[in-house]
Amino acid sequence: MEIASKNGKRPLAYIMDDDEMICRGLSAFLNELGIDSQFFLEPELFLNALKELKPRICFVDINIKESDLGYTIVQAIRSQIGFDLPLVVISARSDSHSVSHALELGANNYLVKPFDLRALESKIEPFFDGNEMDGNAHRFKKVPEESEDARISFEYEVDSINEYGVNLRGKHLIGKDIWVRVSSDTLNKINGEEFTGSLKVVRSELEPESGDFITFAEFDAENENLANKVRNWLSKQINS
Amino acid sequence: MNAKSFKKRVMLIDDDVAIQNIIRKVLVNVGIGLITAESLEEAFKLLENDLPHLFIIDINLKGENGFEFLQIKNGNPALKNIPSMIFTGEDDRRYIHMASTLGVKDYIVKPVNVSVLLQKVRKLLTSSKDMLEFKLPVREKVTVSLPVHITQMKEGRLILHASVLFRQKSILNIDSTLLRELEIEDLVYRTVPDRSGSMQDGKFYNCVAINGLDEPKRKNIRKVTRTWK
Repeated sequence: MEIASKNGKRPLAYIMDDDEMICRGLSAFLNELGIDSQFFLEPELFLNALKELKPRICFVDINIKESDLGYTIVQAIRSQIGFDLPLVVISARSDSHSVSHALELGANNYLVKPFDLRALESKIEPFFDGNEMDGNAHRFKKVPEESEDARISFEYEVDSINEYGVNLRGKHLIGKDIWVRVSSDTLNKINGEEFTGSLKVVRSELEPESGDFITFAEFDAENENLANKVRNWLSKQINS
Repeated sequence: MNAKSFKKRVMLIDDDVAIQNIIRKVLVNVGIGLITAESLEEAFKLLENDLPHLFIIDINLKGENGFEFLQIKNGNPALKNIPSMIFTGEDDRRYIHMASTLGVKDYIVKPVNVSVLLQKVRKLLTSSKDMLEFKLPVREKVTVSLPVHITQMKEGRLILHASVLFRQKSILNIDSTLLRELEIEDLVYRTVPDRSGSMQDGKFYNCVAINGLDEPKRKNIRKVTRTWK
């Protein structure tokens, strides 16, 4: 018996399948849907666990140990636990007979192997109310346009400064023509007060030996006062 | 780099106000800045805070001459590489020779057609290789910030649409009203490979994992994102 990630606040599913790969795959999909799971390779352990703690849903493979043991398990659940536990059978057989037989015995739905996340979601969605399982938790949702704006900041380095701008060094490819802010003690010193202006990225090139991107970001050409301060500062550094 | 858009500045040392006005008009019209000084003392005072890209110097100044300026300039490390031109009424060969030995790049005798003067000024400004550059002895740690859009989100992940392709496993600080409203602005945001790298409108998609979400926060994200399309 294996225990998947446990979190008391998320719905719990039991999986009965003697194929551990299927158990793990299903468990991963359920996790993406916001459902915790516990899987069982042995029918006896599974039925005992059901008596101890009733999960929110269970999955039973029809073909266990190369027989139709799954049908017996479905029957056992319905006779011992009742009909209020959602039960989904898993079958490699796509023929209508095995599926309809499982449904006749009390399964609520069926899942044919191999299945994907979308198929799983559509099969179990009816058994959960909206607050319990987020059927779309695995899917990206589009952020409303009015909430999209953000500002991002990250650590970088300044290599050198010239009259027109600064050479930045770092791990990211920063696109051309974007305006960036650089919080730098050196730029504050040059400016005589906190430097809050933006610099325009003129180019970013990969330095193969270091794997760093060297990005040249230009001062605002309109800001003559700053240009003057930069030139004076540079002259002092170079000649001191 | 696009140095052309940066305004170059010229310092004119000439005590003739009429000349100052003419040159100012000519240069300002084409986007070149002008600093004027009537005496050497005034020039050096201005130079304490303002380094031009070119000097235009008259030889005959009241009680002093432009050559004195050039001698001092040439001995000053901050000034010696800035090119200079003489603009004077003197056409004596000895002056021209003197100017040449002091490293003057051009010698123009007044009166001169303003367009010729402008042409020579431009030539010296563009050929001047005095762009100052300083390599920091130790690379400085800085913080770079830029605007992005959070275009998509799910529990534990968000997609940034940005002019930057972030390297994987980079830690980012994100300042966003949305994240503040979800009370997750202080969590750790780390770039992950999922869906990253594709481009649209010249910008990159970057997938970011939100680390440190507890169940109430997850629940809140589910609740909020459920209302989105």
